[in-house]
Amino acid sequence: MAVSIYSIGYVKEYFGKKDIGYLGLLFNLFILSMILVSTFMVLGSRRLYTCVRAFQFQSLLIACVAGIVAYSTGRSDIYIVALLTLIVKAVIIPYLFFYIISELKIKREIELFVNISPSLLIGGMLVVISYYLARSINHDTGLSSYALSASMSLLLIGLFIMISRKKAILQMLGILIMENGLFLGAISLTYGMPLLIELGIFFDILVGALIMGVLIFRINRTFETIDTDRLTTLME
Amino acid sequence: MIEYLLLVPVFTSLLCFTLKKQKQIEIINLTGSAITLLLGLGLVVRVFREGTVVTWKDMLFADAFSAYLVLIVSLVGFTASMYSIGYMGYEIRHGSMDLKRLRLYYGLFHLFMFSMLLVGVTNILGLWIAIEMTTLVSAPLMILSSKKSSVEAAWKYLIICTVGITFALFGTILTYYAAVQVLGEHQEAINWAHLLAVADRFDPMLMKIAFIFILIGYGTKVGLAPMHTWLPDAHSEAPSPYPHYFPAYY
Repeated sequence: MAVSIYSIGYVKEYFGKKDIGYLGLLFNLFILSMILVSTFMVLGSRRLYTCVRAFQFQSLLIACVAGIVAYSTGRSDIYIVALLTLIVKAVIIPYLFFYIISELKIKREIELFVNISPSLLIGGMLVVISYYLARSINHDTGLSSYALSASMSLLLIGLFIMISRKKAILQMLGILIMENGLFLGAISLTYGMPLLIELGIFFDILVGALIMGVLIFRINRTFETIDTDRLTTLME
Repeated sequence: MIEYLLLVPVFTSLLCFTLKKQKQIEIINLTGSAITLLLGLGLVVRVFREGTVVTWKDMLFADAFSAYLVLIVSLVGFTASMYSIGYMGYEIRHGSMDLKRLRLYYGLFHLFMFSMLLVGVTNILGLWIAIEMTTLVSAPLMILSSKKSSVEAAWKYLIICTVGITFALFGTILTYYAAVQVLGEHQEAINWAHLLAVADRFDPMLMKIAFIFILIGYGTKVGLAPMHTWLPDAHSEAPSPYPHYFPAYY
């Protein structure tokens, strides 16, 4: 539903302004809405594997966006960034997830604090909110404004996934979705940051994911579960 | 000058990771932090004599404020590393710590020092990388002991701080976007000095949103009131000489 609201916004915008290349714009909008769809796949699924696959798909799309930006600006360093996104976020990190899932023999079903249908509704609301927020801060009405609203939605929905799911592994997934949103915002607003900075951020994300993985193993060993509502030793 | 200051802790930590004997590690630890302190003092003196120091293609710079930060970090780092020797020696004698963990402790300690020094001498996006690094380096320090409470504190710390810092990155990206609109696609758009010079021309609405995100983000890391819940647990569960080091920067 939210996606359809979103696409109506796109179409309206298209008729308002015609000087951008028709096909290019449409293709970009398609990718952006697919990114949102993949986020909703994470929100609306009870199966752990589907969530990780959706995340992988999303990272792939974001690497595509980076590739398109690199192609249209002709800057070679953005190609490197796109390639890195592909390797780190669409290959290594999903592999890490699958490794954790199979090593710990995690139950395939996700336990939720907020049920699927309210989650989807809240997700839709978050998308609308970020759409208006992006509208208010971005005056140029080109693609960057949509990308900004999509990136804000990813940020907010990632946060929502973190607080509404019980398993530690989904909190990790939520953080990575937030990072994806940020990356989308950065690459489409400013056409990427200086390469050195970009490398630093990638390094941080990768190391962060590894450390979270190690911690999940440690939680599993000490608490014999990875449900975060059992982590109550420090609650007094 | 600045790059030597940053390289010394990295080398020290690498040495700490590779050395085999407790005595050697302790000596390396102490010399490393002493050299860092001396270089830090040198940098401070130079900044006060010559004004802002800039090196390495504008990526690293030190003004009066970063001199202040470097002074604090290297001084507290030196004293904490001195205190660590006695503290960790005690832990080892009582069997609650083994050589592997000791190596990890000192290695991470110096990496932490590196990231905090980096915070002081870098640009707005480098600042984010360095602060995220402090989180990542310090979380493993907390699970040196595998008590239930330490693991829980580490998870809480890692999750809350990473989310916070993600918000900060979003704010920073918005700031960078505002700067790019004014300065153009340029290396200068992430330098404190250049940003300050053109700050009055930034889009006010964009900067308002960016400010909120950055306040929440770095506020989480500092432990500002609504986002402080990780802080007491983290401080009580980490190895003792280390938390003293924590607030020193913040």
